[in-house]
Amino acid sequence: MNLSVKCMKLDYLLLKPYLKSMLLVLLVPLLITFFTGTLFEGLSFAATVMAMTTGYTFSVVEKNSMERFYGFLPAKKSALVAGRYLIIFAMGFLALLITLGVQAFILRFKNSALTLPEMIGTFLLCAILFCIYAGVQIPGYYRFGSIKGKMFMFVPTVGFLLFYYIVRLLMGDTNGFNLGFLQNSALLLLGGVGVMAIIIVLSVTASIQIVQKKSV
Amino acid sequence: MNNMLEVTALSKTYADFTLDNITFSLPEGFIMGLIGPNGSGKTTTIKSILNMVEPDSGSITVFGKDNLAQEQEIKRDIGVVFDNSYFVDEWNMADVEKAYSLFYTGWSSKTYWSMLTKFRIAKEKRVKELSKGMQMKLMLACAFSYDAKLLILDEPTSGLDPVSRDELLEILSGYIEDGRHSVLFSTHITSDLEKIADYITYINLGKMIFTGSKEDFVEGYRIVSGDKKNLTPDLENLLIGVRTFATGYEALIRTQDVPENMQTDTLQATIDDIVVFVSRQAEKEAMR
Repeated sequence: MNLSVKCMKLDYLLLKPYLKSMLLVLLVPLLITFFTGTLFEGLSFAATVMAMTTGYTFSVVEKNSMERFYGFLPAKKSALVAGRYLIIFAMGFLALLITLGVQAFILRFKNSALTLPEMIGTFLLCAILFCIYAGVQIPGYYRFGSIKGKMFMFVPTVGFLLFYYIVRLLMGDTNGFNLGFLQNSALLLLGGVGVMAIIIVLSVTASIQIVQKKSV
Repeated sequence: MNNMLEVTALSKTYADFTLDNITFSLPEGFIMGLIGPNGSGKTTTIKSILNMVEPDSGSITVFGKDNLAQEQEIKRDIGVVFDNSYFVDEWNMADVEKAYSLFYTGWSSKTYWSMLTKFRIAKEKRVKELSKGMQMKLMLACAFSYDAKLLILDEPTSGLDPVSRDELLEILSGYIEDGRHSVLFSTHITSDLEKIADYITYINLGKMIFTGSKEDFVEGYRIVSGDKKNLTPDLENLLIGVRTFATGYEALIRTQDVPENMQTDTLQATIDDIVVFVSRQAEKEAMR
């Protein structure tokens, strides 16, 4: 088994006690979708919520003095970092996919019109937002730890508000936020995936550099 | 005799502390006590061995392999026990096994569960429900479950009651019995080492004071005490960490330095005595 996948599994064990509460919080985006009747508001909120859980692994490690455990494991530091990214992004994307599915079901139940390109476009945009929020936070947590780096917890909230502010500034009204520009365009799809890849690569590189220099 | 561990000229400088030129080796099948007061550099030495801190200079080989170039390979055969548990409080014993078995190919589930039974660790309990002594035994059980060849213990007995400490010493004695395993045991409770250590490495204020067999260490020093009037300047120069009181003095002296015409008897020094007097001397010299 790949070492990074092993490290991901170890980090999953850290998150296990938090899974129930994470699932409970994810009900909120569904309520948003139910009341607003739109896909984007709920899913972008889900991206924010999931990005806010980025610090969980770091706080469990810090609370239980597990840096020493990670320190003597027969795994490269880069594999440990990669494992952390894998679990955070896998859980984030999975939560977005599940939320999207349930939202689609809710909107269908409410007889709202919903197209596949709109779903793909919305997912892509929210995944990019998640990547930005998590990608900024993780190197911060590696650098400062979860206690000293508490301020990074607010990155998703600030990002969420900032995003809506920019959208309002550009388009005048968030209610009418039209995702049409994301529809039917393979180029945008590829562009979106490319943006995510760039964010992740930059973030992983920064984190590995921080961890390599850091003493436990 | 093969060396399990060789530390050569290890140095590391922090803003307020320097670990200076530490050299020692631990042969296969023996227990070495790494001693010194708090803040002397024991943990920095251990973290350097485990590549958890980057030394400024020096080299470390474990099982004859470089600890940086062959880090992963080496770490597969090292077991580590710290003064506190490094598991998630909420984990149960099965979670601990899941976490460990991911990384150690030689992990034996059968050994793990039988070790828990042997150490009387309740299998259904969570880590946070275990006493400090039980948590220490859990860390040992994990190390034994992948047959770690070298066990590194960093202050494992601090905070343990005498019964748990005695149990640990018994476990360690059994662990090295086959002659294929070794233990590096850092502690400032030196009475533990009187019982089980074969070798001693003594570090004080980041400097190496002694490394060698426990017998050489203990026999290398004597405790001398006597009337103040006998404390001549010549004698005082030979003494280490002199403590004077109203009627007399007490100090440590190197066995080779004991004058032939000594007025008073000297006593065998314990490891504790040596650490206390040498530390006092070092502090005196640092204040000058």
